[in-house]
Parts: sequence; C-alpha cells; structure tokens
Amino acid sequence: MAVRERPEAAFHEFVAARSASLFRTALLMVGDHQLAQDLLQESLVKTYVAWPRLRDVANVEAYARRVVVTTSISWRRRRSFHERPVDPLPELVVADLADSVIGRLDLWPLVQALPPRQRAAVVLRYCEDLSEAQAAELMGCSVGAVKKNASVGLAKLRDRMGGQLTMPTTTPDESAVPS
Amino acid sequence: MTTSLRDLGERAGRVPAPQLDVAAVVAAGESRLRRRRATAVAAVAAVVAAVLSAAVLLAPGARLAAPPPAHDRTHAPDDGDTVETRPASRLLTYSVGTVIHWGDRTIDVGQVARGRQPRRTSLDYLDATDDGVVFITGPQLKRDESGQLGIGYGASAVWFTDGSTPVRIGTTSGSAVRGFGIGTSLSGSTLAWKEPGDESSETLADPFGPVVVYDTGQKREVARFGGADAEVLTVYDDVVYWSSGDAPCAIRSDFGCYRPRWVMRFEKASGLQAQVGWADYEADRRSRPGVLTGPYVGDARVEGPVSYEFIGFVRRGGRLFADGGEPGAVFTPTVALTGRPVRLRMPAGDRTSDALAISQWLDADRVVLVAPHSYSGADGTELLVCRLSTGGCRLAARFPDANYTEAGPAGIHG
Repeated sequence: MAVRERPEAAFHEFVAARSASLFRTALLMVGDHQLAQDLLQESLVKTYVAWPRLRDVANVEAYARRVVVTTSISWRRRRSFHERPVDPLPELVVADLADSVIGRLDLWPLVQALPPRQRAAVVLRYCEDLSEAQAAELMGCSVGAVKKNASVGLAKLRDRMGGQLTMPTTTPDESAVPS
Repeated sequence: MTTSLRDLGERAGRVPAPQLDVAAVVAAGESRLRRRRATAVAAVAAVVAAVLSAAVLLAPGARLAAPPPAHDRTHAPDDGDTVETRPASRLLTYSVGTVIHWGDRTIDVGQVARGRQPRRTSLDYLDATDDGVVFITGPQLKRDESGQLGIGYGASAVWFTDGSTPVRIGTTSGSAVRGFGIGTSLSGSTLAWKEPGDESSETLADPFGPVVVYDTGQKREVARFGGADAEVLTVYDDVVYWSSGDAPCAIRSDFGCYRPRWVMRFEKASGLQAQVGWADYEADRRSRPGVLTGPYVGDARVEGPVSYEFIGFVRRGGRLFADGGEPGAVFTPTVALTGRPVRLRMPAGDRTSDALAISQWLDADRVVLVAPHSYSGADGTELLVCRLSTGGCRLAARFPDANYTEAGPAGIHG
C-alpha cells in the first residue's frame, strides 16, 4: 500500500491492523499498561506526521516501532513503572490487566529493572524474536551494541533467576548469549 | 517453574490493546503539521506576519517592546568567581511516593494526588522555586469503550505548596511520557506553563491554550499570552522566553523545528514583549548561570556548541562525561558563563550507576544528578550533589525503590 498521501482512511487502517502489535512492544518496553498506551499514542502521532515520506506500509510499521523503542530508551524517568495500588480498589481491577496476565511471572519485574538499552536489546531479541540486525535498526545502534547490551542484560537475568530462567537458544553466528 | 523470555513476549501479546481514539491521534498530528507549515513560509513575509500575529496574541494590557539589547548581562556576574560564591538559592527537592522532600522538610501530598487518581502512588512532575514546590499529579484517568482505564489526555492540575496545604494554581496538559509544558527559573519565584485549550476535553492533540506566567512569592498569575502553538522555552525570574510557533525555521530536526529564526521574550517587570533573534536568545542564556555548552546531541545538523540546562552523563571509571547520544560518544561540556570544562567525579567507591542526568540546579555551581538504580541493576536510586568548579560529587539522598520523582523537566529527553 502506498502512503504518499495522508488519507485518514489509510492511517485508520494502519492503526487498526498494527496497533496491537505495537502495543505489545510498548508494554514490554515500559512494563505498565497506561504508560504503554501513552507511548503507543505518542508514537502514532509521530508516525502520522512522518506519513508522506514513508513509502509503503512496511516502512510505516518499522518507523512506528522504532519510535516506540527509541522513545522508551531515551525516557530516563522510570519511577512510574512500578506503581501499584496502595489500597484495594475493586472497581479498578480492570486496570491491572497487564499485571494479571504477565505480572505474576518472576521474570517480568527483572526485565523491567534492566537499564533501558539492555532491556530493549533483551526484549527485541528474545521476547520479540528479532535478529540482531533488526534490533539494531529499531534501537538506532550498531549490531555490536545490540550484542553487548543483550549479553549483559541476559547475564543479569540469569544471575537473578538462576535455574528458573530457560535460556534462549542461539544460532552459531550469534554471540549474544553469554556462556 | 521455569519461564522464558519468549513466554514473556507471548503473554504480553495476550494483554488486550487499548481502544485508541484515532481521531485524536490524527488531530494531534495535524496540529504538529500545522506548526511545521507555519514555520515554512518565506522569511520576509513571515517576519511581517509574525510581528502582526504576536501583537494579536498578546493578552490585553501586554505591550510589544523594542527588541532588548542582544546580550543583556544585567543578571550576569562580573566574573566566574562571583558566580561560584553565590549563596545557595535552591533546596534539594524530590519525592518518594507522594511525600515531597524539600530541603529538610517533608510534605505529604497523597490526599491531593489520590483525589485525582485513586491508584496514584507517585507524582508525575515536581520542581522548586525559592518559595516552595510545584507539582503535577498527572492527568485524570478515563475509561475507554471496553471499560479499560487509561491515561486521560486532558488537563493536569498544577499544584503549589510552601509546606502547608497544597493549592491548585493552574492547569496544564501532557503526560509523564510526553512531558509537561512547564518550567521554573533557576532562582526566584517565576514559573510558566502551557495551558490546555479546553480543560474538559480528553484529546491527545497538543495543548491549544496560552502560556501562563505565575509568581509563587506573590502567589498570583502574572501574565498569559500566546496562542495555540505557543511553547515555553526558557524561564528566568525576570524573563520568559517562548515560541509563538510562527517563526520561520532555521534548523529542522526529524520531529519538528529545532531552531526558529526568532523567539519571543516576555519581561516580567514591565509586561513587555519583544521579538529576539535566536543568536541573541542564545547569548542571553549563556550569560546566565545554569547553562552548559557542548556539541549538539540529536537528529538535526547543528554546527558549533549549543546550550543545555539539563543533560545526561555516563560513567567511565570514576569520571563522568556528557552523553553524546550515540553509543560510545561522550564529551566534556563547559560552563557557559565561565568557559571552564566540567569534569565530574563519582563519590569515592561509588560505581552503582552507569548513566546519570542533571535533575536540578541548586545554584550556579552545584547541580543535582539523578542516578537511577535501573542503569546498573543495583538496588536503590541515588541523588548526587556535584560542584562544577571542583568536579566533586557527594551522595545527597538514596531511596530503595523506583517510586520516586526527581525535580526537573518531566517526560522524554533525548
């Protein structure tokens, strides 16, 4: 689909088709449902602005995902990631969907506690199953930087989780996983 | 039970995505495009139009002044030594949960914060003036069509406390991720924020209201000016620089205009407005304390050094260098006022943080650096107070969890 113009219909179509996937990346990157929603919408606004110079829909998605990743890396404030209710509030239970689905995993808070670039590398390589080159493109850095960040991040997770963490399998040409 | 990262990704994919208000996204995009188009007009025509529009945008009673001296040094000391012996004008300010720490005082604003958002356990923004603490608890939550609670995109209340019961002093828009259009002066009582066009609207679009200037000493609004595209640039106690949004763009970045040809200057004492060129704006910034210079870190092509009030640092051994934005790129910034290089050192034996950032300027020589625990995986976040003149840093505060807010600009940086 060409996107040389900025027809609202095409943008609506893109949002409807890809926002769930983009939201998943945003959620993995920031770890909080509301912040992920905020991040997704900000990324979509930037994508809409860039729409005329994105040649086809594949570029649109790549651009939007890159904005999600780079924005989450550059956002240095983390204190909101671990907000939790201070009192039981039954009418607000629906707000804790992310917690109920993934928050009980011991791994979840440990991934969120990684430094931003390490978290991005680990999420993109092992949660999203992207190649090092694809992760580097989204993070705006070199393949070597992805390898290093993923390696260090994974080592920290292994230190904290021990035998409870199933280590990712690797291909022979990828050295991101520490021995 | 074992778990894998792939399993984590799959579970994240099962979390229902929020119902997006695409019309609001489009409106926000169109707002930014309109700002871009406005800055792309021919320079001569734009200057004429801008003068006219600036006059229209001014609030009743405000006046246009002749352009001020290009380099107003009335607030610049005679030499660097004078700067470094100035008395401290700011108190170390941060919050843990909803308890604000302002110097030696603690102020619990939980009742205010949870009145806005029942689940709220921290603040979205806070900063200090000479008279107290300004804070934002975040936009009101709203429920979408599926019943999911999300961040509202309408108004956020701006609160002020001098240690007693917080008082609501205004309204702004934004979010923790996108940031808030608010700024305080390095010293004194002045702050300024961007007001939303319609407090009751739940729109993602950029705020459409005027810029509001407030004095926390007098506890009153001083002025409001500007239109839909006005933005707060830099706040001093005597002057507020702002962009009217219709200046032609001199240097464009990927996400907008990095450097307009001119900006607006509001003088608090007289209420006068003037249009000043970017070079004069830069010269004034560099004549004041609280500014570092270094190479541009961003996506635009900018020659020569630029000014930073806030910048990140990365640790190399025990030394701290300014973060150059690219992997491995670092530089040594200089103090704009003195030209002296900034060579900061971590406290002896402290290796907990790999990346830090300026949170607050206590005076011309002392900055507060926030060192989030997450960067190293160690427990606890630290606030360091560093002297630019000596490079020495000392531990000023440490808190064990991530539920903190440091003073300074909120939102996305970099």
